[in-house]
Amino acid sequence: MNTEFIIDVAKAIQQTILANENTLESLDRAIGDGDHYINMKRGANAIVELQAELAPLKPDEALNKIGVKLLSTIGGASGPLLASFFMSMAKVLGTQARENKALKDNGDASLLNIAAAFAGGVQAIIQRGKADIGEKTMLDVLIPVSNQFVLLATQSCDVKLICATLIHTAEQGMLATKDLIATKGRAAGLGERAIGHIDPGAKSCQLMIETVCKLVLESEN
Amino acid sequence: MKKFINEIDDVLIESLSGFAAAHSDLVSLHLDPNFLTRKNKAQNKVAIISGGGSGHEPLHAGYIGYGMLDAACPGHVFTSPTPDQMLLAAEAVYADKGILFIVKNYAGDVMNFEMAAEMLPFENATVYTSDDCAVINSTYTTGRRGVAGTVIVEKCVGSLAETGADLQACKALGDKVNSRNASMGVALTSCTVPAAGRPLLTLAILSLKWA
Repeated sequence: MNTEFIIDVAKAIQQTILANENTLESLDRAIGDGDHYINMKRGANAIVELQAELAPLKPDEALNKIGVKLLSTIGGASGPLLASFFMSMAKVLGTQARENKALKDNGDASLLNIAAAFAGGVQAIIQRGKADIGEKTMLDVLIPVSNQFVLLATQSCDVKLICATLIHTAEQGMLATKDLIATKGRAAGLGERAIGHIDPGAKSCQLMIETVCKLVLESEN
Repeated sequence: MKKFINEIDDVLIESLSGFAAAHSDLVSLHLDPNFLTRKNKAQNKVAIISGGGSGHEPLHAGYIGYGMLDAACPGHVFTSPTPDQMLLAAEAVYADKGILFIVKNYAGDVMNFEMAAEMLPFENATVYTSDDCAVINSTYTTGRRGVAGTVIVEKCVGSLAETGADLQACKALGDKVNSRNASMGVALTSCTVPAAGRPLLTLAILSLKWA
C-alpha cells in the first residue's frame, strides 16, 4: 500500500458516496436525522481536495492527515469516529514500519500490516463510540470485516480471495442491522421502531469497504 | 417550508455573519473554524462554552454575554461542531479559571466535545444536559437528549461563574440544575435541512410528533 493508492481510494470513495445519495439519504431519514449523506459527502470532498498535500507523505502520515481533516470537517458522530479510525490506523502502520514488522521486501506495508492497522482503527471506533457489535451501528460491518481480514491475512490468503470475502462479510453485516434494535447512535431513541431499517452508518461503511476491495481487485487483474 | 437561501453551502456562514453584524456591540465572530465570543472578553472567571448543530437558534450564540456564555461553537445544520472549533474558542475566552463545556447529550456532540476536552491544554470540565423527558433513559445508553432545558443550565451556571466561583462549583451546579430539568418537545410540522432540500418527515394535517 502506498500513498498513491490511498489517494485513488479517496477518489473512488467520493464517487461511491455521490452515487449513493438517495440510498443513504432515505436510510438516514427513516431512523436518523437526515444529515449522514451530507456529512459523508463533505468529508469525502475534503479528502479529495487534500490530495496534493497527501501525495508527498508516507502512507501512515497520509492516513493521519486524513483523520485530522475528517475530524474538523464532518462533525456529528461520524466525524470523531472516522477520524479515530484513520488516526489509529496511521499509528499502527507507523509503529510497524519503524519496527520493521512483517513488511514486504521492498519496505511497503504488507497485507498483515494493513489488517493490523484496520483492526487498530476499528478498536478506536469501539472505544470512542463506547459501542460493540449488535447495536445497529457501523460496527456491525466493521467488526466482522476486521476479524475476517486479520484471520485471512494471518493465513497468508491470496489478496483477491481476501477482497472477495470482505465484500461479502461487509454486506452480511450491513444487512444484519436491519433486524436489530438500536442501542447506540441516533436511532437508539426509536426502540423497536428502528427494526426493519438498515443502519445508514453501516451502509456507508459497507459501501466504502466494497469500493476499496473492488479497486484492489481491479488492480490485481 | 419556504425560505430565501442564496447558496445552500453558504447558509451557515451567512446566517452567522448576519447575526454578528446585527449584534456587533455584543459578540465577535471568528470564521474557519467557526465560533462566536463576547465582544469584551471576561477576566478571571470560569469560561463557559457551549455549542451544537445549527438550526435551533437562538441556541447557542444568542446566549453569549454577561451572565451566560463566553463562547459558542455552531456546527453545520443539525450536526455537532468539531473539536478544532472548541479548541480555538477555548483559547480565545480562557480567563485563568478553567473552561466549562455545556454539551447536549447527543452521540455526536458528546464525542466531539470529548475529543476537544482531551486535547485542551487548560483545566476543563463538562456538563452534559439530558432534560428530554420524552426519551426513555433505559438500556438506550445515549439516553435522554439535551434540549430546551439546556438554556436554563447555561443561565444558572453562567450567573454563578460571574461571581468568581471555581470550575468545580460551576460543574456541580450545572449537573444539579440538569438533574432537576425536564423538557418535552413537540413538532407541528417538519423542518427541511437546507442541504437535504426536502422535509425530514411527513406529518398529516392533524398530526403532531412528540419529542
